[in-house]
Amino acid sequence: MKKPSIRTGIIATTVACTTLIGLSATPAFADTSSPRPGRTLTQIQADGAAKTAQRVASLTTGIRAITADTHLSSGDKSTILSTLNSDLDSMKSVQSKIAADTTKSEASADYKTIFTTYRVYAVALPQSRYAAATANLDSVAIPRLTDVHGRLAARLAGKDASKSTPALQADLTDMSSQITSASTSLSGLAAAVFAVTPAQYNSNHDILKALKQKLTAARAALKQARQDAKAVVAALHTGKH
Amino acid sequence: MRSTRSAAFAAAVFLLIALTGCAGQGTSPAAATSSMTPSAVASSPPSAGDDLDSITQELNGVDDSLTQAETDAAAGDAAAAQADQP
Repeated sequence: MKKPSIRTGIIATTVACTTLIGLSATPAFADTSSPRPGRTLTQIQADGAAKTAQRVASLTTGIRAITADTHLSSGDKSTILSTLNSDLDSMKSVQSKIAADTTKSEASADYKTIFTTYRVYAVALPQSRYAAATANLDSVAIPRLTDVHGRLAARLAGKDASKSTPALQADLTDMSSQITSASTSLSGLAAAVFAVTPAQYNSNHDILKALKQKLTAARAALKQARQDAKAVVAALHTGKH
Repeated sequence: MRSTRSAAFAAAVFLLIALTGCAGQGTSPAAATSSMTPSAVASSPPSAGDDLDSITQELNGVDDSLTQAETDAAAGDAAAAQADQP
């Protein structure tokens, strides 16, 4: 039941995120991205073309990676790709707008939106990859480890009861604990990651770090759970532990 | 003459039916196993080795998932590490 709610949360927050990105076209936060003073219109346009091209290339790479990801569900993949493609279109639009600007003030204003409005590197790309990693662990690693735990517990209680030892039971207990810990870390994480907006990042540059820490903790817990399972499997193969 | 021939025919038919019926009941275990359909064989409980192998395969899938998640997280970190200001 957890999976649909996360997916639904991702979709809902993606819609909210897209709306917020659209609404924040006129940034109401501190300007940290003004073009260097004294630059000509041509220089601003050239720099704008380079910066947007760089982001277009990075977004294209990100889209390719998410498209090739075989672990994501079609729903999660669609949501993530929708966000990245939206940013890609926006970046191309800004690129064209800067190129068409006829005054230095217009070009400067549009140039600033590359950074403060879209935050391709600080927000869009990290959130898409963190969300992909979260969905992957949540929909693949946890269900599989949960299934393996059940099967190993059944074997130690049944046909392999003679091979059961306190150490193996401790491995199974730890495995269950690690899966629970990872589930707690991942609960709502994809939706929370997707809810982060460029505007929020502009106010708090560490906003994604706390979420990333949860992802790291979940990964570490699932790795340990996998090690516990492998220890039990190895013992059942050899009959020792 | 006619009745003798009829009785002999009836006895032959009876003997044939009796032999055919006994043949089905006398099938050896080996013959029964060899006549199992593939689906019947597949639905038999797996041996211990097969079961552990399937668990190992499932753990390999977990490995793939963890590796992919690590790749995604690293890509996210790399993007976040890039300066997003001019």
